Amino acid sequence: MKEKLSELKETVARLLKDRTVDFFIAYQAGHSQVEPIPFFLTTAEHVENLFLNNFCAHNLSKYLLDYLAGDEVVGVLAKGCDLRALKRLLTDHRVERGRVFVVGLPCIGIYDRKKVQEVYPAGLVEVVEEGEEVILRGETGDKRVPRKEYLLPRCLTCPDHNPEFYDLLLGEKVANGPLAEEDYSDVRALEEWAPGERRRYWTRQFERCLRCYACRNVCPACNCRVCCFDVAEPRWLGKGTSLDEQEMFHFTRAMHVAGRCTGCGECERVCPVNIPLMKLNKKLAKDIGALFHVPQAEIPTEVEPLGQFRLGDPDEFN
Amino acid sequence: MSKNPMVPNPATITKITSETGSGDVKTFRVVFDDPSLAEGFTYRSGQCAMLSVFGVGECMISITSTPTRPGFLEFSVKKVGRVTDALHEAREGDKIGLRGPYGNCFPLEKMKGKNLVFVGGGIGLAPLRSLINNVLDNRKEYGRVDIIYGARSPQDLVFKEELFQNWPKYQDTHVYVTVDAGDEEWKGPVGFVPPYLEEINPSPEGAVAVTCGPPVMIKFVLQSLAKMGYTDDQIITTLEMKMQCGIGKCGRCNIGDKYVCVDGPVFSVDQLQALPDEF
Amino acid sequence: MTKVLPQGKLKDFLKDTMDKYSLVAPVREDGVVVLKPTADPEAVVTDYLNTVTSPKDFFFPQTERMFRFQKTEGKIRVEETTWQGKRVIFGVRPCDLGSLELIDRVFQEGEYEETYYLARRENTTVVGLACSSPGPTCFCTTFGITPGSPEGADLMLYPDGEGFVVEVLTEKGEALAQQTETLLEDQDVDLAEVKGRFEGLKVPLGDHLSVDGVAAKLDGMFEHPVWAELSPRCLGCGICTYLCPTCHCFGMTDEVRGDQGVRLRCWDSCQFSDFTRMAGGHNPRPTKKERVRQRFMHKLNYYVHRFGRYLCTGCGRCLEKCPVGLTMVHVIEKVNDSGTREVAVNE
Repeated sequence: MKEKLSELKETVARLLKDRTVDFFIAYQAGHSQVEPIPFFLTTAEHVENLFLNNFCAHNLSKYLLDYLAGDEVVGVLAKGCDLRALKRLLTDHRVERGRVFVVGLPCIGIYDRKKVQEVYPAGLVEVVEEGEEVILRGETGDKRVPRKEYLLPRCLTCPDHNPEFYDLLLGEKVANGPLAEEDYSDVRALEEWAPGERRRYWTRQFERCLRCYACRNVCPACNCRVCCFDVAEPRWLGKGTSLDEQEMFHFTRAMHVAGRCTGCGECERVCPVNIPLMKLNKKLAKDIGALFHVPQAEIPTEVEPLGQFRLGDPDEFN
Repeated sequence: MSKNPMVPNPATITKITSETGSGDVKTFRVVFDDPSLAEGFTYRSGQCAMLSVFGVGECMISITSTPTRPGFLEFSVKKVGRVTDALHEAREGDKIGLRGPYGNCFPLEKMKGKNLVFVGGGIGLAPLRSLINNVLDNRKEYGRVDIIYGARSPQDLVFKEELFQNWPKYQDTHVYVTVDAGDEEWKGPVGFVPPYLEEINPSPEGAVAVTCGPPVMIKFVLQSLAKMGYTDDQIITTLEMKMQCGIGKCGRCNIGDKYVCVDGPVFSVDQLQALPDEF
Repeated sequence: MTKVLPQGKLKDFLKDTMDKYSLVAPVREDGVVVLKPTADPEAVVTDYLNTVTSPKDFFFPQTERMFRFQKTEGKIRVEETTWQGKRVIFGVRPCDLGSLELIDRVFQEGEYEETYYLARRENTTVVGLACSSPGPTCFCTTFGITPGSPEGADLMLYPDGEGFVVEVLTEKGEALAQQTETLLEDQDVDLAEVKGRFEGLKVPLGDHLSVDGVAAKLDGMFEHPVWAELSPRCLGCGICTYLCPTCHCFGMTDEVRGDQGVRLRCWDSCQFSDFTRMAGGHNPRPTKKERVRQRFMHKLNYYVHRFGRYLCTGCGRCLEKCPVGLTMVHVIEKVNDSGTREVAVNE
């Protein structure tokens, strides 16, 4: 991905110079190699600080919600997964296509910072891909590890190595096709547990929840104008923390994004206390797929399985 | 009283007065249930107290009664949110919680011997009322008193009995009332407070102006006073921020390094100039 | 002679502690190390850089029950709740020890005391654990704290060879040392030398980051463009404030069932959009710019004005956990790099 940096710089500089976009959202270097951070460029001079490597995980299209009020055209760098998130926002009529200029970024996988840091807590210089393996190259030497084991979970089953649509594509398209079929194995494993065991597992997870709302704030499906949990009256959720309130929050959110979750896993990635939120989302995606005969519940469609009502529906609408 | 400043003391609403035509402002007279508190609670004009509606929450309200008339506290409350809505549901005899008093107060010592100009808008007359009655109860210690007050409509005027009957009876005390828009019965002046203030044009000589009201009114009143020759240290106002603890701990009512709950709510304009523009 | 707790006696030390105190200690759970009440010495770990959550949680809990109230026929009864307990918090790192002293000032000084915090503080014995190998996100030395600073601890443990060199700092620490005295061996160890070794450890990030003059510089930077530049990437979540060992803002809320209820004091975050929104709708900090500015101005300027110290101890949690790298280090670097010219906006 790094090799596309100079092309990205040229592209963004041009887009800003010729006023195709008013500003551009991409990545800049963070505290270390494994944590690039979002970067808002307003002038062509900023491109010198652009950064790109295979740790650029953040879905930048969620930021578009911060600019609904204006009339700027916002440029955004989007991988396949980010594009699905953008499609979510477009499908939900939250963002106007005409106000977004998409620079597509083909991607064969983003590395999971947490996993890499277990091997290399500090001093990582770069990650070099060699077929099925990667070399973690650092100040204290190289470590060769299996590539699949160090990717973000979402990348293993990613169907969109190339963004579905874009205004401009960076570099050449890459070979598509997921590295692994989505078999919901982690969900199936949970389903096999005894109810009491499952209860204990989720209790431990939600008791750890800090209610920091990072999962909600980063989620492209959580795009309501005002979140029901931020409303003072009626107060759906107490300010106090307890297992009840935490569950109320997570279950409500999971149900609200059910059928709309794009499977990006950003919620789980940003959770500071490692709550496996994607297990909830995937369970719902799996069930929706089975119940409504939707092949890929994570792909936004104009008519969602849970977003429509048919007169012939066997269930009453209440 | 509990050593813990966060625990409210039970108190009883003994009288409720609806101030406005629509009833969106009510004045609550409140007496502490604990007799030692009812007698021992002291405060100064400009200070606030936390009112609790148990089960709903708390809100910080300025004390509109004057310490010169002890025995009870009064709060004029506009219906704007959860807690104030609940307060408006209360009836005489109902129990609420009370803790305080909080914040600083109007600088009465500095105002002694001066001509006083009070400029109020809407519910902003509530904190001024404490000060005005305090001054009038010690009438001889102050110079001329001008009270300039406005509301959106005649229906929105508060403390009408005092405005039109009680206050003008005091010696050298002049009350001017305007409304943004009149109605069939309104015979008084019509117009916004700032131009009306300029029209009355009380002299800055030996004067102190105190203004309270909606932020936009204060903004223009300050401009008018400056135009009329008042210097920043002659003008006093109050600020409002969202508050929760009232004791300078919860960290939300700060403007720069000043906490409105303990360092305010009363500020002179020269003090305001030193604060960042974030209120 | 210096007291030493042999490595092999650590579990017994915790067990003996639990005879008299309840124990809060670092426990590994689903891939993260959290501070938790535990009754199992076997679950306690010492091989962590720092805990994800900070010890403030046990003095300033996320939800504190302040009082109960009961409405009965024309009456209201308010019953204050006070925390009852005797607790030991084990394994607190020097940065977090320092943070307790910073929160103490807020809740203790001034006209009023925050009695809930102080009650927990008074009845808790803090066992510090010096850091043998500071990590890539550590910058305690920026704020004058070292991997061996014991300030804020009642009893400090310095890992040394096959055990922990013990330093008793307060009466509470002395009481704990007595409780566990059969396990502490008197050895011929030079405490000052051991401490000196920890104090001299390199903290790569902190050693290169200076905060000198930052507070003064920020006096003139309220309207500086740096805030508009930093804030767009903020997610507006509460990770930084909730994990920060020095953030201490809170709100209050009532929970009610029928005629009775409780008032809770809960953590709140200056990064949340409703933090300063008033009942009428006005919000003095309406966008991420004002909210991000508030957080860093509070830590690097406002608090300094009030209490004479920076409200940060360089624990590195924001570096570790902020999903968008809006960290204390980044902001200090930005302030150090920026000109002090004041730019008037909206003019």
